[in-house]
Amino acid sequence: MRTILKQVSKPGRYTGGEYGQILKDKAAVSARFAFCFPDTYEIGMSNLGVRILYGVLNREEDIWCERVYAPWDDMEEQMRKNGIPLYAHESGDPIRDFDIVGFTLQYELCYTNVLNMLDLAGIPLLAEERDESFPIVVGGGPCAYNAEPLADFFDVFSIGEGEEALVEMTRLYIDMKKAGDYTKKEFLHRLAKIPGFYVPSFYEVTYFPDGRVQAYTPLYEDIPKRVVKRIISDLDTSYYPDKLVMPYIETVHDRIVLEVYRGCIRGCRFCQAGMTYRPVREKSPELLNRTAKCLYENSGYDEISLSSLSISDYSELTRLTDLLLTWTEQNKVSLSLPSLRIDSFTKELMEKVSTVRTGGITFAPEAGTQRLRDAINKNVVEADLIRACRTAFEAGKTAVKLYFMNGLPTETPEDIAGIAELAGEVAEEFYRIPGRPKGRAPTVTISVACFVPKPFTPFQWEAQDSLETLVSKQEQLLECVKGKKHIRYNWHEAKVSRIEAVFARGSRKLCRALLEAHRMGLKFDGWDEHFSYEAWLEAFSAAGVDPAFYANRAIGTDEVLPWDVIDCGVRKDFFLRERERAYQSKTTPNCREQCSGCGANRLGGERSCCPHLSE
Amino acid sequence: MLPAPVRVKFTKVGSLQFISHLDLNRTMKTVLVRAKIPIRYTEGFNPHPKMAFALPLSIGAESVCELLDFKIDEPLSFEEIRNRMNEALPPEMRVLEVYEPTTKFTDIAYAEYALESASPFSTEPLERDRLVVTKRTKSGEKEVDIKPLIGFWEKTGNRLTCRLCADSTRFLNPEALASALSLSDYTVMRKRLLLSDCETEFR
Repeated sequence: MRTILKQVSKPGRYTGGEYGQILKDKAAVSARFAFCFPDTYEIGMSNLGVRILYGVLNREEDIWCERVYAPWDDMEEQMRKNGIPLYAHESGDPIRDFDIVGFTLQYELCYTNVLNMLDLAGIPLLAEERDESFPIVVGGGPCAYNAEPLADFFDVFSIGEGEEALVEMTRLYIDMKKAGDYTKKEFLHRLAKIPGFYVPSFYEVTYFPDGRVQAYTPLYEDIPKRVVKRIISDLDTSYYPDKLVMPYIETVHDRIVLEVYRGCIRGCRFCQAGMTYRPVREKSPELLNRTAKCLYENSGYDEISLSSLSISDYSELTRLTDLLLTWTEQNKVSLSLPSLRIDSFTKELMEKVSTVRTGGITFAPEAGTQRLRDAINKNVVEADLIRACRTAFEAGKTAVKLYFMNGLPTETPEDIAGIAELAGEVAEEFYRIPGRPKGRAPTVTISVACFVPKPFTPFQWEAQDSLETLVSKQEQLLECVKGKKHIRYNWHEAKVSRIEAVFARGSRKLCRALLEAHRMGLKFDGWDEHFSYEAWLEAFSAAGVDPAFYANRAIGTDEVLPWDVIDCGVRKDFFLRERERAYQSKTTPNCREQCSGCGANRLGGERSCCPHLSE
Repeated sequence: MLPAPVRVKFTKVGSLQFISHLDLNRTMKTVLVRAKIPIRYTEGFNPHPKMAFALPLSIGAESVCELLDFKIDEPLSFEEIRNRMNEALPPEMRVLEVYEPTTKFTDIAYAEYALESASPFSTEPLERDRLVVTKRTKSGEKEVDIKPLIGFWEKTGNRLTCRLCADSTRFLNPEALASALSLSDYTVMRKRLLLSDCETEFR
């Protein structure tokens, strides 16, 4: 192993042995859980969900949860050459010998890594080819809301928040093993009756000849027709780690991440997280402050990032930052707020938050005109943006970064030109400030992503623009910014967004395409140096899959959707209503102003702004 | 007298041989906070703990003689520093000794290493007058005679003990010596830091 590690890049990714890792006696535990992150160590170690679930599983004395990451290709080559199967970080034991192998599915472009990791572990890819001797393979995370493209490879998916569900699942496994009545099939059957568990093989899917889904039929009468997602009702009493595993090598988010609340009051119509994390549930500032102090003392990190979908919507943000500042300043700990809304950006907030003091400023207007911003329900006006940027400039900043999207439903050439105009307005505002930094010029960077229609959003039925249209829109914007010296323009690769769209709304028919892609050696598709659009087209063609059917087709509102078997809490009629309002460029008030009846409140939730309904 | 200078001697073994010097530096910052050592910070806009390591260790080498200097702003006994740091360190790093430094890192002239090979090897190349190796630098490959950089060597079984130049102008990486001896499966352990006489241990 030593000789191998000397030949690979960043060997610190593979050694384990971090301070804070959890070691147990494998002979003394009843179940071993391999928690796999299908991307590199640096990305996986930064993931908050992994930190929480690793802690919550290991809190159980008889369960040992270990971490597993995707080895980079140089390491994979060495492992395959030397016959080393994929192993768990803590013990170094092959994960094939574990009881449960879990994958967190954070983005569609990691699917090939999931297959590659199973293969590297010596675990058959197809669930039906795995007998009792192989671990149970479970998936969870954001992409589990439509994991149909992965359905053939997983035994079960955990839908929604996993803190309680994963423990219940492992507990059922242990109990059945102890009672001696464990069979894989019986275990999955009992699991399918526990809320939040979706066993894809227990649901038969029929299709129309053209590939549209005809129906989902449960194979047992005692399992639900639709699987309702799990939520943690009270975040103040639920588990949150007070210790961290400390990476030696630099990771993407090498800091304390303090989760402030779940859900989002905003309801941007393109945003899946804003819908699937509903209802809003807040933590109390006192608890957050205690957790932060504890994490600081146990980690030694000098930065705390306040995390949530839109941090400035936290109803007690001032109280929380005041509490934190009573001890962070003197300990030279800085605060960062990564998801600031334009309309909340004030001088006071800026002074409290050091990343804003030292780093760049980023805002996300998402669209170039008020009409389109209203259509996507961004609820931000140009005056807010100008005022926010002015505040930043007055504080000595010269660089502002703005996020936009191309290809949003109803987008016209005026909306694209509007992006350049808005950026130009921001740059001009700089010169209107009497006390502007002398002798310096502003830089406005516009970073433009491509719209990807996502399940469980009001735009879930929309067609993604064709590749050619997206590229021509990018070219139009390039023309618009030409000659504007203060504007820098960068855009996302449309080909990547197209593959993302195929899998985001894919059905089980895509499992074959993934198998083909894996056979062709595709992996790390989220990385520029690995992504190959041409290879993907080849994989689709070999699997008899038309990518346009999934990415570029407007889905009928009467169609059965591949993800209709999942209930995320928000109801379809709400999405339909929101879709209609989008076409009329009508905004919807945020959840705190007025409840729009999305339906998520029937899941419960403490410290929420939702009206408690008894239905 | 405050601020008081402190020198910490520690080990870095096992899987930590794959952790670079830069990463060790970042790790040590968090260790000192976890250990609640009242370490002196740099002044200025972006203060950070002021600390200095004696001699960077290359990736793939273990050590039982790493040195770290810093200053403390509040009184704290050496024993307490040692205990607290050991609580906060990962198992493969241990503080062996904490004391007041009376020397400067610039006095270090040699480092003693033990190279342990998995298979027998010949020391014939070391007996030559010149031992030329190809060194990769930014401007291309360069031939270097490393013989003058070897202060002492001794072979017992498959273990080579060697004292290699380790000052700011002349430095020999034990990996370069290992490759000159055509070792493939071997471990490197830094044992001691020495003064210019190549005998006396640096403290």
